[in-house]
Amino acid sequence: MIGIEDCLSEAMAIPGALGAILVDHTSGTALAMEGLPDPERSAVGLSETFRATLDGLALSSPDGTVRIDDLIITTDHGYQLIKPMETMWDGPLLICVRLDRDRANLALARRRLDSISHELIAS
Amino acid sequence: MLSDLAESRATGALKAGRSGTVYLSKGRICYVECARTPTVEELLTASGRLSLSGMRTARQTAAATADGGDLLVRRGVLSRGELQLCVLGATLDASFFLFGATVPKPKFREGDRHWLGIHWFFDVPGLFRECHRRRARLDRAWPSAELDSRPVVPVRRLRSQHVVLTALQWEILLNADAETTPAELAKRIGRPAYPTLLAVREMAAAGLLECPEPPPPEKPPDLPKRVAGAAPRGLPGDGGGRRAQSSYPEISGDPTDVNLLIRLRNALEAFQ
Amino acid sequence: MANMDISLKEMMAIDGAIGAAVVDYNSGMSLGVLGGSKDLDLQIAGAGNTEVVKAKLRTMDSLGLKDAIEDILITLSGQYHIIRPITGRGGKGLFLYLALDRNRANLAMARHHLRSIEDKMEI
Repeated sequence: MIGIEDCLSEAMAIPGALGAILVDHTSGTALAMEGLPDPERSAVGLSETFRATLDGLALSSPDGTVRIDDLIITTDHGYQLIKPMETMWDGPLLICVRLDRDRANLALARRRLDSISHELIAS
Repeated sequence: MLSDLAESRATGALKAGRSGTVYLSKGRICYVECARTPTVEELLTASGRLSLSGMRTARQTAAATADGGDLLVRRGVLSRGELQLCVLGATLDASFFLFGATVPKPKFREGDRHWLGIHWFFDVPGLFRECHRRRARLDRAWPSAELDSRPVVPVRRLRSQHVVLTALQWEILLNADAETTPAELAKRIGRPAYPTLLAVREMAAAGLLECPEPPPPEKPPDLPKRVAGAAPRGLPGDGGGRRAQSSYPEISGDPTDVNLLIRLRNALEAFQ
Repeated sequence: MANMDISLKEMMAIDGAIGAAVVDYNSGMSLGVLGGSKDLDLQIAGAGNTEVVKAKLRTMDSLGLKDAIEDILITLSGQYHIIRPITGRGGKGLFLYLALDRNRANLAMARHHLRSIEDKMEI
């Protein structure tokens, strides 16, 4: 069980990590961040992207409900991993890591982010 | 006053009557409470994360030492991350409603600490910046504050044929009973007040929620009793909703106005 | 070079594929679909995923990022969805969309196949 700061430093310790941010999805608030030039705008953008993904998928899902495990965006420069985490009173929270394309291993990064999120929120 | 306390690196609680409290440690804000938003304790218990009795016991044990949060983490009932996230979320939530409100003149109580202890520090400019951003976000969703403090209820029939809801919106619709205001709803379902209010405004904009019709204002009061020295009679909870007589049309706190706006907008959309 | 019908068939031949589409993200309409089931309406899914791409592009724009999106991967409890914007030969404004059964799919292989299908596709 780790705190927010440990969570961010563990995310930054993922090979190839360039920046990490913890975002409250419903309000679009940047809660904690490291290595990102414009965290507030990133937080808003991440929230919007996540909301659009939920809305878009809800339309096409057979029962109209969606649960996203993670979201990975690959660009010509790198990867962006977005992992939602649920607390019982708020949520989802998003933890997002930007990774360097040349140095990162996507499969490893995905596993690490998954375990970090479970260490941060035990419930 | 906050900046003076920050400069003198004060430790204690700045209490604004019953409206709320700002906790400081060596001049830095470490927690904020507001009467209108759920506290950390309320969030954890109302959401079902911790039991009321467990919370009470922890509070009694930690009353003197003010390290209740650490106690909960040590006992393994809450992770460090959950505790920090809850303090963070509750403080952002309380700040939004407390800093925007007119409050009684605050009094500083030197040395007062919160029983949960210190789990996060907030910088004042960052907190104010976030409050501004949240205000703008709220107004983008639905630019009227009239729904904020009034009971809401789901519309009986939808104009649309299909609707997509977030989990929070679902919880709100389930609990909106025409008697509960958004802030009260938040406390009941154990969610922060700001996201609840944002969801209420989004649903109002989508025509899913409305204010119930108010009782006709001309209704004579039942069994009038005169009490010596009593204040002039008014409707209970009449938060300035009734407008002063004026020859100018104005947008008032009257929910019929809000409903009219929603209907108007729906009608306009139907024309597109 | 392969035309759209062949490309869609190749996408459906990927292990675990349950639906494939070529979508115009300006209109949200599908130029072609293959597969799908009662659990997945491809026309609607294509339109829904258009919103995902748009939200992501908006975010990158607001952050001043010049990165080009290579693909977007969404992990749901039972499915993977891969969105891949088409870069060459008249594909501007279009993306490939592939839905996979999470239990049967090999994600790394699927991404690899999709890249090569996009490479030799001609609209």
